[in-house]
Amino acid sequence: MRSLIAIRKPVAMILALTLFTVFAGLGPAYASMIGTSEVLETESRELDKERLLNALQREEVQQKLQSWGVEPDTAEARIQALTDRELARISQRMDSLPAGGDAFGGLIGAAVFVFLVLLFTDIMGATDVFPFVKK
Amino acid sequence: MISRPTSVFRAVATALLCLAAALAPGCAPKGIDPGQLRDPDIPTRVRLASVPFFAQQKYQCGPASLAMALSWSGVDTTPSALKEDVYTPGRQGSMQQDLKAATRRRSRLAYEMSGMEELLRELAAGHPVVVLQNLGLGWFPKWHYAVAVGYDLDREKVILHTGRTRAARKDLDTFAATWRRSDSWGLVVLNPGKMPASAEQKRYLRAVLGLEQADRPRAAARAYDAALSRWPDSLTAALGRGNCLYALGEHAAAEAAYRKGLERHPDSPELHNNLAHALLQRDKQQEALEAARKALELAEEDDGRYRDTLRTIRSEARW
Repeated sequence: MRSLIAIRKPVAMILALTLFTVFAGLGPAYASMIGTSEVLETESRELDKERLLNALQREEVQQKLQSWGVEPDTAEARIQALTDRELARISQRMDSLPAGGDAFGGLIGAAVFVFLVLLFTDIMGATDVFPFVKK
Repeated sequence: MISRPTSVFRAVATALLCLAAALAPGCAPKGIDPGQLRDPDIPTRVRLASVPFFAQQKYQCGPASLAMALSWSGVDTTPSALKEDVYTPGRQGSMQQDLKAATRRRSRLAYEMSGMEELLRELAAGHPVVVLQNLGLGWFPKWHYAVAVGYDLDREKVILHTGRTRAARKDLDTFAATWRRSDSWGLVVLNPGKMPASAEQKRYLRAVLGLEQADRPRAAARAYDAALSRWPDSLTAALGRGNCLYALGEHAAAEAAYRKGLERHPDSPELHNNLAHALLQRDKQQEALEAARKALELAEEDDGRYRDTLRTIRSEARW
């Protein structure tokens, strides 16, 4: 177990480096060329660290999408079209991002609503559904 | 006891009202003052007839809305063709970043805007806007995408392609309240080279950077061109234009682009550095060497890349 923990860091670094090389391929052909984002987002100048972090974030976001039923290839393509800045903004809060779906429906939501209404009317004394509401 | 049902009904109704009041503070429409939105530069009434309508299937307002905006911009697509790229089954909905990504991958600029004034300006300029609304409440959200295709300030209406309804006329107040919950987020989908009516420099350049990131250098180059016409002093646009041309393998054009940028930014190490690479590709080693030296000289700090450029050029020099 201890040895597992010991190798976790290097494995993560290798993974990150691999991803970095993959994604760096999207930028200018030479590694020593300056990417457009670097002059636009001057605050993100600490380059290598940022990019390594970003490679990990990309991996995380991709896995999240896959866990929500998006095909691996599609998930990767979706993420590749996002800038580092955009990715940094969403990666920590994927679960709470709004997902526009439907104007109606949502069984669970409706159930919650009915529960709250009944709870309230129970407290008001107009209904008597929940035994735990004391009058 | 005969009056019982009525009193129960009354109690329930009262309870519901109290509940709504208690749980939805600040949700009541705040009241948009249409007088404030009036602007001599925009008409009081706009209706974009050229935006096609696609009725949404269950949970598919994202693909449907984006299909309308993309079709309007000249991309041949349908909601079902976009579903794979935009819709996330586990969320029963579509997320904003996926709408942007799908737009870029179809070589269209995804420009984000926010607020009623910008919305009216875009519509007045003839651009439809994909909007994200929360039709429910903060604690009981019903996130929904629609496409704004017009407005009528005299009657205080917004016109939306929404759900299964074409050109629905919604009260401006209600729309503003449901829209505000997404920070009044809107997406303008444009053919690259066209400027959003509410274009703000940095926001626009970020949108173009998205095209570059999505590996659409041809489209991005056109958009950077447009940026340079509007903001000739933009270093980002000058560098970006060169980088896109370089990525396309058009090294002569890339060289010209970097040189043009250097006319305005003679002290930019970034431009000198990338110019050196373009020159190297064109077998102009001597000039490349000079550009790389200049870059290194001008750089306040070097993360190693300016030196790398110089080294690369020296190692490829044939003398």
